Amino acid sequence: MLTYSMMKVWPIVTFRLIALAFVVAGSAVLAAVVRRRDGRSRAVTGTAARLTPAELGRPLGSTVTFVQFSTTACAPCRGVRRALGELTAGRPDVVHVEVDAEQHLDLVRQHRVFTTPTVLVLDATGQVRHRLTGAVDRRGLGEALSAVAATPATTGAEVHHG
Amino acid sequence: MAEIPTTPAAGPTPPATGIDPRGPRFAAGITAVVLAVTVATGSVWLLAAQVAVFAIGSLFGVRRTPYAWVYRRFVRPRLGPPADLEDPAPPRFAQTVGLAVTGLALLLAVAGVAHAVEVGAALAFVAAFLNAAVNYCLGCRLYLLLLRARTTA
Repeated sequence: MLTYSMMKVWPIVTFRLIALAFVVAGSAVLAAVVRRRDGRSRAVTGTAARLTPAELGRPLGSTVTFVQFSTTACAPCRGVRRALGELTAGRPDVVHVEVDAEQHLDLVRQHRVFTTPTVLVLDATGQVRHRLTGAVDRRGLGEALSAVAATPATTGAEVHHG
Repeated sequence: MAEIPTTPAAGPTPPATGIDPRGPRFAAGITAVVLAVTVATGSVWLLAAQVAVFAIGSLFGVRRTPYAWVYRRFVRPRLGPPADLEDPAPPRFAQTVGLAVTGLALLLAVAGVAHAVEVGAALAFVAAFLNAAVNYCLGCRLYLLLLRARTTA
């Protein structure tokens, strides 16, 4: 049987439970969005953004260069570093460069990096062709590698004929 | 010939030793449950307890929190050794972010602001849930945005 005090308290409890249900549902939707986005490589089209060996401090890979933006306080960066290390092992034509975002805010701004880790996938000419963010796994990085290696550069192709 | 730049782009140096990366994720799971119960009950005491846990993690490191102790004592013995060790700095930064959000909510609640407990706990819940469920790093985004904002000004 409901007492007076229980009747007074019950609407507040129901309000909180409904609020909690919304918060949990919203978080689950966000988690699904994050999972869909992270680990997927998105093709970069319509821009001629590129990175040069001088900016990176080392020569580009002859097939693909992975440029990973990292920060010190970044847990997923470590996993991505390991995955890229595995992927580039035994492939002298594929290079992994890790950039400390804190030390290279010019590059962070220029390439619109908003979170770490962000991986830019460059073709042989240094053009940014693919982009990945968050806790990317080896499969997503492998897909980016195949996609960029399979299609020739749209600009800078004349370099090979010069 | 390629010029050798004076300041080559180099990543942050990897740590010599580290922590089991499953520990912070387990802790994020417990944190999410505690914050969910806080939203459901509106208990200022439960929020205060979570603020205290965040403060311990932020000030003394994630290994000193009671959640880490539960993980070491009861969970890790059943899991076996980790595949890789993790830098303790990132999860510690995440604790600081959690402390800022829940600490502010606690202050507002004590000052008498209505529903400060529920709103603060809900915001922190989203971050803890995403961390536990999909290893999302909210701190990474906030940190970089902070850096960008600071140098623009």
